[in-house]
Amino acid sequence: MEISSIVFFVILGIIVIYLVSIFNQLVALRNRFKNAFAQIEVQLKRRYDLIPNLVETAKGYLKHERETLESVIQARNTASDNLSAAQRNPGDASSMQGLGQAEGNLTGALGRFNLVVEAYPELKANETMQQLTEELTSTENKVAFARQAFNDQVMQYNIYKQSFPQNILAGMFGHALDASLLEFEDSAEIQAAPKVSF
Amino acid sequence: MNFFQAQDNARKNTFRLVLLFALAVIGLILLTNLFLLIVYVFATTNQLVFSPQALYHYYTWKEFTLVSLGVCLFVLGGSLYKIQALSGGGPAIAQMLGGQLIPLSTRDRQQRQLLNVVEEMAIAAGMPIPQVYLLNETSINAFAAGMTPSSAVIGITKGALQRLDRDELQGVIAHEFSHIANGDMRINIRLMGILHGILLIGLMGYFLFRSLRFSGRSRSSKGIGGIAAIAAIGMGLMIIGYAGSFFGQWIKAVVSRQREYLADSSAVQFTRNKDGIADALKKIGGTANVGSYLDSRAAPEYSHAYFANGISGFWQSLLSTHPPLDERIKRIEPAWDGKFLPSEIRPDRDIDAVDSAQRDFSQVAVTAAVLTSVEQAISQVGTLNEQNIEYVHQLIVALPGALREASQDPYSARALIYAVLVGLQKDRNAAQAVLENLADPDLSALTLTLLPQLITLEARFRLPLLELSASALRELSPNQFVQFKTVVEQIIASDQSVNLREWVVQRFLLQQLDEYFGFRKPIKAKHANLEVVRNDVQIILSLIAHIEHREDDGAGAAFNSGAAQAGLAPLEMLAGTAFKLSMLDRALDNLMLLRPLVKPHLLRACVATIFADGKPTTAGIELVRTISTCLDCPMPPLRSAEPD
Repeated sequence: MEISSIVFFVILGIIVIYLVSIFNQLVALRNRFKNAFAQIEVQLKRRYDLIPNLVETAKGYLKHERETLESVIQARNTASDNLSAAQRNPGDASSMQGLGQAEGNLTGALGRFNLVVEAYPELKANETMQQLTEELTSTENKVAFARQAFNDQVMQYNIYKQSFPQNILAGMFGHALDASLLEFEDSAEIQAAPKVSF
Repeated sequence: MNFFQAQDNARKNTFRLVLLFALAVIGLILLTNLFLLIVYVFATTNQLVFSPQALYHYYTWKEFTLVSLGVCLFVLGGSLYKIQALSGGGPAIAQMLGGQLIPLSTRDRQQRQLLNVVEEMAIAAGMPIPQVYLLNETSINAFAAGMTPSSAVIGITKGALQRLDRDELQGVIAHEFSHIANGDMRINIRLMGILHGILLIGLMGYFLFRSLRFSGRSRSSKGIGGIAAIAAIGMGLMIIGYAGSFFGQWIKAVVSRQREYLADSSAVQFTRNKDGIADALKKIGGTANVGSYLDSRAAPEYSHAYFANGISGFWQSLLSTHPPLDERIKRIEPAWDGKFLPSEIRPDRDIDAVDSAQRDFSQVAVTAAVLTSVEQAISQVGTLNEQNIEYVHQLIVALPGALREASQDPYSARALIYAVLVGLQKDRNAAQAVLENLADPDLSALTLTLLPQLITLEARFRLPLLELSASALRELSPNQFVQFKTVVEQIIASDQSVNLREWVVQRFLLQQLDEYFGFRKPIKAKHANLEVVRNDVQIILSLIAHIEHREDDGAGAAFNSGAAQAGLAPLEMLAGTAFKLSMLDRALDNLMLLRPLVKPHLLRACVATIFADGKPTTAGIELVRTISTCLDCPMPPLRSAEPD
């Protein structure tokens, strides 16, 4: 056994260890953002649970606004379906975009709903209605916050994946695609719209 | 065996493991040398030679040293790498096993119940609340992972969640808590590291062998001899590596089986309920088709940390990390009739009654154990009892709903902590000015909504509330945590002075979170006696004496009784005005370096200080509890004899 071959094996060993550590780090980072998505999921589900109650409460007062109510429910159902698709594969570009869009639509529908509510002072004064709106607002805030945490983790994963030498290896290790951020369409609106002022 | 003894044993066992490791590496070096030599001789002379004399003839010290160095580097590198990777904390391991974090704000009732059980038990034990991971497996099993209580997590399979009732869950979780409290995970992680190093030699051989298949054709011109030599080296390394790791696993299994009995008996001791854990074990036995086996690929590696055997296989009886089920059940319940229990998946609706606020408290309200003596306080460290668990359960149920809800979610848990701190400021307007500068106006509004409730909150709720919030704050992203920390510091500094209460909140909260987020490295014990940290003990005891006797002049006597207990007399008490909080921080950092068996002396001195006049105050007890938490000595809630 010559020195050169021993050196060769030692170096080989170090390289193997290095590769394994890159692989593990990639997996760890991916798991982290997947877990962060669970946080968003809980809050979004909560939001989807609240909306039918909201509509139910408003129904009695808004007899002539069926269209608005239906559009809210429909947007809510679409968003809920998109969430189920997204939770199977957090970080996937198309499902993230789908969810983002559906959320944007739902926010828009809720915005219109709130405008309508403005015209009905009795409904606005309804205690259940106030409670639900209040809870909806706080859920919105939690969604926004959880989304920020998710996007942080996705960024971390992407940055690690794109730096050298991971950029060469990531594809081989089954991390070919960058994870996609979850952006809600009209992000500014989502923070403002559901806030009903009484 | 008490908590400190268990911790110390864990540390000593580690030392023995290092020794064992050295022996294993020496054995490996000799074997590898012998083997390479045979191959070498065969390759040069085409003869298989086994006799030592003949081999000696071909061999020189230079080659021996080189091969030895190579093997050493390899095994050491592999071990260190693995230990380092696993020290990343519980979450890394839980995720490796395919665990999904259960968010604290979960609305699934089974998960909610599980989180409640874990929270109650952690607070009752005085430990940070671990995060809980769900493994998507149908079998009944659970595990604990992580190097320190602050970074520990608990994992549980979906099957366990669906099939076990609350008492059984409590038994299983208590078993896992005992692993955390006894420091079993440290030993296990080191064992795994060593095993990995040895296994690496086998893997290396495997890769060599495999590489031949791919390069075989292109290198055919090089001659059969070369290929045969590489094949032989590969095979040999595989055999050495795998055989080595087999023995390693056997040792690991023997160690692990002992720890399981200990954890089982601790679980019974913690819950005062034999049936819970025994029934859980019987259900594993009775659910033959699913049992406790896990599908995860990483399962075998982490087998020792499970609640019951996680892997099945031919070598089960020899390499099993857990004692046989019936043996375990018999030790818990000697009169067992040998019948396992069938288990069914519980329908969701059956779960809750016990967990909600509507629970019927027919018994008299339970209170925390009254602190009656120094020894009693020390003996409680690292243990749990039914009374405390029940007390914490009622405490949580009695928390104002808005506060409880705020503590369950990282978004509002921040507001809760901000509110706690604003409430402690002399100049609340300055603190509120900090809040108004926050990017998120809703958050500062929420903080102000919570503030009045916190100002009027009873003292006994304060620490549990902090513990609950700390658990939610672990779900922040690292960026969000850094921002949170900055705001906390700004609020504390807003009135230009830092009082002790603020310091306690900051230290209590940030120490465990810093450790969790990797901003603070877990420490290595080094001080073997209190003499080395004399000054630091002096600072801490003086502080406790002043806090305890804020309203009368017994501080000097209290301090002396503490100093005598510490065995450091003559020690002089520092004047009440001499404290700087930076000084306290440094003192506590130093005291954290004490070895496990020295820590009870320090805690005894602390308790003796508040106990000098026979009437410990709530403030004194809370301070001592905070200190003991910082020292990783979980002290359960205790109550002063004075009315709350």
